[in-house]
Amino acid sequence: MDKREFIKKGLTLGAGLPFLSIILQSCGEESLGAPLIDTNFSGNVIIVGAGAAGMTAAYLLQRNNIPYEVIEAAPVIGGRVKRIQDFADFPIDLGAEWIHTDPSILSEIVNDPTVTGDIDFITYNPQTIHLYKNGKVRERNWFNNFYSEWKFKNTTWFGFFERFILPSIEDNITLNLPVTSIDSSGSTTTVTTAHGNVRQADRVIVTVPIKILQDEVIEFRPALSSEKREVINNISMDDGLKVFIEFKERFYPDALLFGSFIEALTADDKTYYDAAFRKGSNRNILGLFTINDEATRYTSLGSDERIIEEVINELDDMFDGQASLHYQNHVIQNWSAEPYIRGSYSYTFSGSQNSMVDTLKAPINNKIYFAGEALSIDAQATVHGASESAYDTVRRMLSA
Amino acid sequence: MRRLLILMMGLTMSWSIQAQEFDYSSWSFSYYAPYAIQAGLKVGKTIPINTWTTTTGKEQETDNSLLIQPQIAYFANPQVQQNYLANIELGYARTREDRKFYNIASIGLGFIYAQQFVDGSVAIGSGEVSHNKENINYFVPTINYEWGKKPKNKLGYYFKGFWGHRITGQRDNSGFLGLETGLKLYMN
Repeated sequence: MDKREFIKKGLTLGAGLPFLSIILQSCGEESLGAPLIDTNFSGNVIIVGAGAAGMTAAYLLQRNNIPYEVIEAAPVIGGRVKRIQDFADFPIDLGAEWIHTDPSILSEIVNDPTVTGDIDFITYNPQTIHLYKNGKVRERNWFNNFYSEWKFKNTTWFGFFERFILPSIEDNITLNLPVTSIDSSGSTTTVTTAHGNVRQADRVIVTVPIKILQDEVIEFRPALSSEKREVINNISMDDGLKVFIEFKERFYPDALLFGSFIEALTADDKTYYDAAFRKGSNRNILGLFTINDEATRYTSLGSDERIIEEVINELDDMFDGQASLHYQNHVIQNWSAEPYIRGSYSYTFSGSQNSMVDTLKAPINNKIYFAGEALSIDAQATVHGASESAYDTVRRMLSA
Repeated sequence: MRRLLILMMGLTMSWSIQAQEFDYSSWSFSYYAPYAIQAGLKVGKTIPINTWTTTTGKEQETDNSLLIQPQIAYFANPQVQQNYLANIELGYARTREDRKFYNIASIGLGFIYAQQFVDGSVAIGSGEVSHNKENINYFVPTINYEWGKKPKNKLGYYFKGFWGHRITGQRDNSGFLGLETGLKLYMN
């Protein structure tokens, strides 16, 4: 990872608390581009995966009157965009949660001035911030000057897609169809699923998580080039876990970070946070967001029961037994255990991120394209990065 | 004998005399950066209220001043918080007459009127974003240290660090620290 990439990661990575993101806000984002594309393409498209990238790609094809079908392995749409509605008095993002850039990006994703409707957001600038280090919790509220992003106020990322993207594409989505192979050796591309279904398409857009490609869940015929395979294997996507716990009484700050100021500044792999912050809720919902090795510490325990036990014990240690005293309920989202996700999100690139992304993005025989959060240079590891990648991929595919 | 007496006094104690002291009367215009990352502007006036000169052992004359420094400032954390500050500092300034620089240590008490961005909405069709803000009042006691260049042709520059606390009844208190750098336009 070079210096530029290190700084970028410090600014953008994760759904957690990437400090210094305040600087990012003033840098601006590139426009996603026009949704209507001049094209001579007249074939059909299969999109593999109904996460943020897959749904955005479908939405763009719909806008351009290109026939398409979205094939999703899981029984639900969304991928790493997922919500729970009945845990608290506000919907909770079990997956991607933060809006890592100006909220106007939501309008850019939809990109349709005829659409009516607003999305309420909160300025996610935790006011009380504590640091846990060497067995002590210390108040560091002044850290709140170094970090601010946004979150949905009364909806979620899933709710956003459900409201503005899904209505125009949902008839073209097929669930419970894990793709096992993609064969582009013939004149058209053949997509085969686990149930033996076979579909033909002129173009295929693969939007599955990078971990699914690493694990070779989908067989490509002909095989992916050694360059592509090397790139795929050199992007890390490790464990990811979110836990939400309801307590009778609140005993925690808006955000609890770990380590020193510098460690909190550069690391984003574990945070406890008030999930009800500025949500207008009277409930006490504490969130735990953790990825990479920190997440593995929990996911390796093997069961949700042991995970929540470990979390409560840890909170008791930090807050003098108040967690077990006030505990009411919890929900765990173990992303590593999701069979079609298998982790959190792309994290580090062992090499030049630009050239690796270029290699991965390069279409195979002008038939198979790739999209997803890992392929966004400007907003890797974010939902809007996944959408940006879909815009880029659809534009390249229809312009080819 | 008289010379010896003067020398002994210089060696053992500071000695106030009336002389051509450095005059700190000035206006300051600065880049004001709480937490080093917030962007702001500050305007202030330095008003000496007492000035004296001391001589130390090597017959080096040191100018000393008590100052008051009223200031107003605006600083912002874009899309997070806008802040308006009124502040006053009581400082002790010191410089040796043969040196080009001065030092000021001061204590300050300020009042910040802050507008905190709390939520808002985005119109999906147009992309227009509106924000709702909450007003928060803080009292800000600080200690400050300033290091500056004496003027040539009435214009000098300075660097300043400050550390204190933001105190409010509206939410939890927090530390307040940062940097300031700017120009001083001297009156005399």
